[in-house]
Amino acid sequence: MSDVAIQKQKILGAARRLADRRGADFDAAAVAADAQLPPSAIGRHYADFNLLLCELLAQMYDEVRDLVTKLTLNMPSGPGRLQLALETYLQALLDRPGLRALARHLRFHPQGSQLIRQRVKGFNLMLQLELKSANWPDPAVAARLCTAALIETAVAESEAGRKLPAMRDTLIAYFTAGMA
Amino acid sequence: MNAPARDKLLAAAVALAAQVDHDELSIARLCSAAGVGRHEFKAVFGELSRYFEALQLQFFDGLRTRMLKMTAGTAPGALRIKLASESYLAYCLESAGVLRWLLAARAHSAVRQPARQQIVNYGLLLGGELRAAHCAQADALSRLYLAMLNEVAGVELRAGERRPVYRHALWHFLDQACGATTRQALSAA
Repeated sequence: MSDVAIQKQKILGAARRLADRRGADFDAAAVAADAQLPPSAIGRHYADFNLLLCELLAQMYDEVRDLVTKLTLNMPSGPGRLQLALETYLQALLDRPGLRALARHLRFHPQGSQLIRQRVKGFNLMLQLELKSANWPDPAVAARLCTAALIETAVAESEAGRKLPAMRDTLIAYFTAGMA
Repeated sequence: MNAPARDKLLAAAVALAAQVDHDELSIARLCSAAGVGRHEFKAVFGELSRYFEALQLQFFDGLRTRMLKMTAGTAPGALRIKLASESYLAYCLESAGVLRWLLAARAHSAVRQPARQQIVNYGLLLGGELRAAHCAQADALSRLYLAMLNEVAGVELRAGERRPVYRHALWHFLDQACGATTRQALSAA
């Protein structure tokens, strides 16, 4: 690995530690201090500090996606797989308060909002495929609305700092009844 | 407060929002469209974020009036929720330009916080309606339904027209989720 790549990895690792502890409430100087690098190092890799946060947010979203994929990959499609996917997704977000804080912080930033839209679209497509295989009416439309409801559940759980079983169960009961 | 200047500036929003994006809006452009001096804008609102805050309140008032009018005389329950939702979506489409401004202005906390509070208030009202319709998990269902309703409003706002397929999916969720959670609660009892 080149020196440049090693330094970038140190910066992202430091930013991740800070995001886990402080959400989006840290700056370039704090990242440099945590990474034991001179403050100028951050600017050499990222012209805008928010671009560093965008890369970190993308990394955290990838972790969540990979976790959901890993757990559901070998299951047959149907309500069981959908329930596990939704529960895993929500729990992974709840376990990463820094992700929610970064998404809130970056939602009006051009690259940040684009990144969030892409990731929402990715989840939307996954849900659409599940609904399509269950012969759900208008699966693309239902997936879009249910993705909005799922994001709302994640927001509500993040605000509460805990699982909200009533919201999860309501959404899952809707899918289960429709797939029966 | 200079009420005529305030009214003129707020009234100018509908026509101006149809022509000018949020990011292109300036105090000078707004004052010119409203026929009001810049010093009057400064005296009434001070800055654009305060203007958007007032515009959002006006939008919410109009929305509430429309929903109350459309649902007057209807008993609490699913039909009234659908009527209120239809009027919500219709009002959003009719006020598309202003709504686009307000959504973009939510980058300002002075605009974002009241919008969030408004959703909380709608959630409480809707929760009551769902309880009247004998839905189990009424509060949870209310929050999920409002997220979906706002998604439909966003889809129609981008399309510039009604999207019946999305509205049908919304009614499907309302009817089915209410039935599904109620059946689940009864079988657990």
